[in-house]
Amino acid sequence: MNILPLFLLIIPTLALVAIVLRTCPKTAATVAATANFFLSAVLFYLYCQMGPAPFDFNLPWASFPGLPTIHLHFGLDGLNLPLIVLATTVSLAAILVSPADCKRKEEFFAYLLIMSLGGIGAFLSFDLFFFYIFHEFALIPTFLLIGIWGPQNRAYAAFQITLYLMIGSLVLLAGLILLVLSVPEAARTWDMIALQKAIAESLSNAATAGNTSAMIALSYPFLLIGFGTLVSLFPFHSWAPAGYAAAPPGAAMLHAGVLKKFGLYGLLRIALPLVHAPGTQMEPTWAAWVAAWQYLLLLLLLGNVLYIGFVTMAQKELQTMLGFSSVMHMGYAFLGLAAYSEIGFAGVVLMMVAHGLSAALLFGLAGEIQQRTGENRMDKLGGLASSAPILATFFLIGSMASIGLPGLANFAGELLIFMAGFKTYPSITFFAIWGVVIGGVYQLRAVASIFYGPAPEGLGEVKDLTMAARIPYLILIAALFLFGLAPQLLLQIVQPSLSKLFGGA
Amino acid sequence: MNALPWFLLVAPLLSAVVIFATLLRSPKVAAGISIGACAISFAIALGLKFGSLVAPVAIPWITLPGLAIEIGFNADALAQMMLLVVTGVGLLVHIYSFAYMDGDKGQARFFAELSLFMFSMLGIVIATNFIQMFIFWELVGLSSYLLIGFWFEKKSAADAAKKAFLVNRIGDFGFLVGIITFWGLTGTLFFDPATWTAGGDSAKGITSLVDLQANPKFATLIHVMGFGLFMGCMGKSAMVPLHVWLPDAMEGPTPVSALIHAATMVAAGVYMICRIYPVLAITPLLMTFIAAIGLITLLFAAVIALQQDDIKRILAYSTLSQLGYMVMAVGLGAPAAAMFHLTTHAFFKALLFLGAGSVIHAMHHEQDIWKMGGLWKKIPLTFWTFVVGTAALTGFPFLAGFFSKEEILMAAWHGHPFHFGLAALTAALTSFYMFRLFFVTFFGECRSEDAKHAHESPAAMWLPLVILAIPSVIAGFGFVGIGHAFHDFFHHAFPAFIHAEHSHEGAGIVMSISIVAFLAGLGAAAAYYLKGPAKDPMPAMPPVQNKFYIDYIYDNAVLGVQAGIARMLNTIDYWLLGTIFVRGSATFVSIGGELLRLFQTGNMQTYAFLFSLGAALLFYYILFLI
Repeated sequence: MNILPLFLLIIPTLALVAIVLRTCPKTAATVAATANFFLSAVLFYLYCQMGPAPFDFNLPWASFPGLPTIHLHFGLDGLNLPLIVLATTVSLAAILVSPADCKRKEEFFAYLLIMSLGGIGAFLSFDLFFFYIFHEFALIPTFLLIGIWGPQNRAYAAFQITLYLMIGSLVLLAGLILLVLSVPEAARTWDMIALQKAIAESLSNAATAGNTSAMIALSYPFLLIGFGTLVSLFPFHSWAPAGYAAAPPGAAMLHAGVLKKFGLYGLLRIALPLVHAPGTQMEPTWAAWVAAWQYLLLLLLLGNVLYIGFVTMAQKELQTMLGFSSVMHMGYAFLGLAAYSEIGFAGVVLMMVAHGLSAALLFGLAGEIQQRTGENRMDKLGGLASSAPILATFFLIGSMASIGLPGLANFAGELLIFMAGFKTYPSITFFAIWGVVIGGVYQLRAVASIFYGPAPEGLGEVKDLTMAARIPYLILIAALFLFGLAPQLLLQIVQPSLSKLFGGA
Repeated sequence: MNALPWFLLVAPLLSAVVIFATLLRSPKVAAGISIGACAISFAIALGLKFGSLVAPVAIPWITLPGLAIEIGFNADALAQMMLLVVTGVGLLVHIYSFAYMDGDKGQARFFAELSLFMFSMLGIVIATNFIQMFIFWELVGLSSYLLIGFWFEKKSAADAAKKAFLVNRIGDFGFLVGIITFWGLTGTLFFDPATWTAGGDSAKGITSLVDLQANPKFATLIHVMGFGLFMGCMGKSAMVPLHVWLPDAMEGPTPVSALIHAATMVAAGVYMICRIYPVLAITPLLMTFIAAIGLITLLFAAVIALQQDDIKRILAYSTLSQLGYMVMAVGLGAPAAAMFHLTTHAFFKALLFLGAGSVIHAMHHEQDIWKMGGLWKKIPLTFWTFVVGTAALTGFPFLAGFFSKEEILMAAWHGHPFHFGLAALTAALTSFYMFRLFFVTFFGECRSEDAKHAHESPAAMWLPLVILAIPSVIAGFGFVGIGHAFHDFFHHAFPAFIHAEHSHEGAGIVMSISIVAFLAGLGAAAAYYLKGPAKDPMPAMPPVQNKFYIDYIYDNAVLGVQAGIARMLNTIDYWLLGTIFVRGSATFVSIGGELLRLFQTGNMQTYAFLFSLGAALLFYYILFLI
């Protein structure tokens, strides 16, 4: 039973082998992604019935002198399972929207599969080493997908995203190493959960508490900036809009929808619980140091919501606008994290899933629009709702999800985040809520400019989505409605894990 | 299981979903389903008010430690009346639309959106808590966006829809801030005052709203809460300065104007502030503000209505003005009067809008009143029902509007002479602009070919007009009973905030003044317009015709400033963060690369040495420095 989650990794690997063996690449990828999608649904169901215990897989993998043993430790709990469901859903949609006959198609679908595999692997790992390595592993195909298949500006964008994400990852690595080293040598481990326990014990022991609290406090900025860069925390966000605008739709969907959540997940699961751990006796100096970073985070997240919000309004190209919009929404997620409460974290988990789905939906549809019209400047488009009503309806649903309309998943997440934020930081939250207006402005402007009004001269007849082309979007839309109408479906598994994270000590 | 009342919501929702999913190519079937769904809702509303139906138990939506959000069903007297108004007017509008939208290629989509709107609006009415209200509040925003922008190929319609949604979002920002502040202060999200006392944060010494008010520590938050909540009302009910969306929203099909800009959506704001009246009433400054905003809106909109030429826009400004009366009444401490006026207004304003739709239909989509004229004998049924609507709105004695407006004037009469004076003046203006509209449209010569060949609309259109006209004529005194019912409701629901018995002192004077105002407006309008002149004999007043330049200011100043900020930040982002950081680090990397090239000797031993050196340094660092 405990190897069942491993199949989430095995299935895409088999598909990779099949592609190497010259199976039709899109077919192989689609079959694997579909199998993974249903497997994650089954896992979700089984998890609701049985809880986390049966899904733990833990094997020692490699040990180096002086370093703790690295384990292959995979498992499910209420925090990563929602993200795994997200990852398999978006992966399936991203593979389905990609054209079967693009250039160098074997490589293309192989890279998409590796991105998906890396994302799932990172979420599934309870061992810091694999947690980090899987994410790195997924970044390489991201660069290649942009650099080889990107529709515009690909060289510069691939270079920029490489630079940012690699530097971010390195900063993060330094932070993770500091964390591992923060406990006495005998207790060192790469295991996230064991490490958290070890740190708590070390902090409660007077002999080691000083050293440990200093190390944790030192690691906090590294983790914050490292994870933050990967989530496009202001001002480390420039890679995102440029990268997403230059990526082929499938890659943008996978990165914005899945991989970007890695940083938030890391902050939620690793960084914040440590510095806020209940009963933590941090020395006053270090406590003040952490608090200073906390205030910085609050300012930066307002940068995400307000500054980036305004920048988003000024965008002319659809994909760039969507890229900035996804940067802006990360500001809400940071608010939920900064609030550090069960309600806030529950909101962040919901928001990660919801934003992943809605961002994937919009990036996919933006690709369809560009492919049909050869145009990505919104002011050159218009009137598409008459010729392509289904495309227009889907885009409107995605937009409404993105601006937090009730009934779609994003609303529940944002609401919980705002409520939690208000309890801890009322004035910051007050300003952050202004984002609901800003988001409405740019998103509805895009809808109006692309789909309404008369069609401009020379745009020609735009074909609507065919029946087959609708499937990936319908999957994403269905998931947005499902979690929007019944957020408790996710919250019921998230909440027990959060209580453990918060009250466990 | 008492699930039947939920069909109030389920029927229109199902109708919308089914039509969107499968029936977009079958307009007749779609219309039938949509009308049927609305009829089911109406039947349930009747069952709740007069039958034995009772509210079902709530459905939990989010349950977390310290936070329970549910979708409840409130069927108290206030909700019952409001349900009857919404479903009653809604049903007539649905039937009317069947004929009005006949032949439009989007007819099926229209009915789907109409059903979606009914679902959203009814959700607001039965909300038991703030989050539920906010959820449906936003959905009303969405469905009105879809309906106003129904003819989205027209740029003006698409723009009007966007404007409506965004202006409402500004209000929603305040509403959400208010809701969350309320939750933060009281620990509850429910409207029921019983939960405010039980669920308060006793650790902070709060067990009721009065405690909150008494504690100076919460003074700021109470103001944030109250003003925020009222901002929600200002958006939906189109109070100055968030009124700009409503006149533009006339770009939507006329039945939409009748439904959402007369009877339902715009009434939601007033309904909301009545529902949470004590939360606002604990802040005297806010109450003064509410009364002032109401007063400004009622006067401002009436003045603008004096010089508009588009039949629907005149009615739109008239709606703004009447909403101003309602909001002012709440600010003056008379929510019962506000709800009473809301109810009567819903009927006669829907009647007027549908009548205008019938006129427009007969005129082949001409909306300029100066191109009409002499229509009274061409479309007699529309004419006679329009007479009733106009008389009811302007306060013709013993018709519906007369009683409800008189209650509001009474509230002002007791201690608010300034408000009373301007409200009475506006009553005269109302009478003037409505009879101007009426005389110019129906009397005099036919001023265009369309007017000469106008003919009566089909039965599905005039029948709702007749049905709406009946209560305005014969049930005049019946409405007094409704007014008393509202008064009883508020007295029992919020005993600490509503005075037991409203004084009838001065009723005779107030009644006389309102009759004088009515006659003055009518007389002046008759003097100018009774003969149906070819063009407006009133001297043109540019500020009035241009709506006091508010739209102009918004379009240029506000949007300009906002676009300017956006462009400026975008430039900063592009050059500073995008270029200097990235190019800078790229330069740094390439300089580093150049330096490293010095080491690139091609000598294997050099590489091995450098590698070992680096590894040694790393180990030294890890083992000894940490």
